[in-house]
Amino acid sequence: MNSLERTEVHEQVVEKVSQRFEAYGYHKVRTPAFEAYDLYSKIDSSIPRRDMIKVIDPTGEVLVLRPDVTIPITKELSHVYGRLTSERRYYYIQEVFRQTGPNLSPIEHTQAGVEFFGCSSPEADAETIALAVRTLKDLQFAGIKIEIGYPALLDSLIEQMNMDSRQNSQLRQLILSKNVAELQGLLRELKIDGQLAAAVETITQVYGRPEHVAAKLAGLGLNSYIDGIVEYIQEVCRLLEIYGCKEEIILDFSLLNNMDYYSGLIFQGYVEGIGRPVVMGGRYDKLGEAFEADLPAIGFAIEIKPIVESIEGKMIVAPASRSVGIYYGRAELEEAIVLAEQLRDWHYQVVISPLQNQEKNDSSAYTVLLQKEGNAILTNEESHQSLTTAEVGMFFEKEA
Amino acid sequence: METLTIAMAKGRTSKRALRILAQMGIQFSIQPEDSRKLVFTDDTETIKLLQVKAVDVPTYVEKGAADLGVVGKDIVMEDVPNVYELADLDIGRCKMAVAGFPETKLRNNTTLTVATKYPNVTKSYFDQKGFRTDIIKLNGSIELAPLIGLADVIVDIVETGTTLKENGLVILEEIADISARLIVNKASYAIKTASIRQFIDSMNAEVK
Repeated sequence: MNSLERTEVHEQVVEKVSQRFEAYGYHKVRTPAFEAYDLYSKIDSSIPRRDMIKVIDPTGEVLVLRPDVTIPITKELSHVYGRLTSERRYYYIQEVFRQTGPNLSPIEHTQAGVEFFGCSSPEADAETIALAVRTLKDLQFAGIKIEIGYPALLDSLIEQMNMDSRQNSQLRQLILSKNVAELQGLLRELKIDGQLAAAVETITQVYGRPEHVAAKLAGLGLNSYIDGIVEYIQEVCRLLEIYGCKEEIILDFSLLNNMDYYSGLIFQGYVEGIGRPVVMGGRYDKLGEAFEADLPAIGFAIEIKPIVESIEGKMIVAPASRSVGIYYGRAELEEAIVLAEQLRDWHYQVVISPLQNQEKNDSSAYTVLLQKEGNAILTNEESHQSLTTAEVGMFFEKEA
Repeated sequence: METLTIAMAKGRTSKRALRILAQMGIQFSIQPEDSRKLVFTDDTETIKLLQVKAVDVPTYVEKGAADLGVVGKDIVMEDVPNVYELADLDIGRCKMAVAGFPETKLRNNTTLTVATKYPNVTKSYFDQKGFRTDIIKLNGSIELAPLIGLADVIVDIVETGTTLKENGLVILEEIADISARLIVNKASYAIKTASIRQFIDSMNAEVK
């Protein structure tokens, strides 16, 4: 499949995703392609500055090609409401532009995302995660797994360690790679208190079903702040079970923030056959504060391209059920045009072409041959020979 | 059990890693090290082995082309791939070190020219020490650089030290201990958790 034909798969994916989002009461929104650079530089380290594609407008103002959708939606909403009095559910399917990784990697990514404003509760979190799971199920993926974490939990422990920034980033890298052996070494080297060190090691390692993870954490005897987080997450998981998502849920409290504006619960989703996360999301209750507004919210974005690439390999490309190819002999051109126009009125998808081009065209559900020797209609199951042009018309009128 | 794909660095570590796999009961009827084939399936058809260049192992694993990878810590340090690092195979032990002529003093008052295969590791090591550096990336025979005046010192992995010695060089500072590590794709870990945990447990049992 070439990249142009891939568009068809892309559209199918987008349609399925939109249907699912709308079934949960989300409304489609669009944001501008260009945003002020200041908007993004204002929100501290949400998106690395060097990743953004910058352009300069005629007045010398620096603009960026939309590197993210959450921030502009939040900004827009904050202008309208200083405080939300009702819930708002928005979804978007748009390109975002970021220059990450080496120079040759693509900068344009289509994301389908939702933003749920106005509610900060386990119910809202569970509903949003369930929506992510349902959307991936709609796309026929097997082995869907959603990892749920809560970075504030580990952050609160790391804060107690009084490390410099280099040690901090070294520690975070070891946690992210679940490298427990070296983590133990580093904690020992930094002379971190035994109970604290043991807690960080356990949290880095523990991974899996909610009840298993909660039991391990309960054994650590941590403070009430952390107990509160664990309780909150357990409630989210309980509700997710009611949504029928028990099998898909994994708890991993060693997940760390990838977007600095997240606070509270974060999650990422994997499916079989794609080696990186296809869904990323989390709660960002504090983002509204950057615009002097109180806007509790949770959202996620799905990466469309890897999904399209993964699906297209599995798709059997069948001709559309109402596609017709009309092939005419030298003398039958006029008849072919009249017939084609008639069929198009009946909502068939029609191409016409000289007889010798039949091989060159993709197969269609119906093939019509208009020729001196008598006309024919061919489908996969049947063939009708020696028809008059009027009979050909009648055949399609009946099918229509 | 579901199939696990392992990307393994061709060369020295591969032989010893295959011995560990054999002890775990993962046997290959065709010996990978004797063959020029690049993909092997073990006799129980649960393990698929890819023989790739060492520096490419993190790429295969990060992108999910392989679930697991066996590769030297030196390459993981240089690349910092977004993967889990879940076990130390305790093979291919050596050191990442700064080496140069015995009389070379590392001082931070001039710019130090360093030749290395590991520019990222080198830069962050010297940055942290507050040294200004000029890094020259080479792909082999690093020891040559100080001899012909291309660099003041080198950063490289040192196993026995023989090559250094024969070229009149010595270790000036040790940067890190290196050994072969098991790295794991994050999506694979989420989806095949049980199989991967089982593999790691059985590997750890053989390594100890």
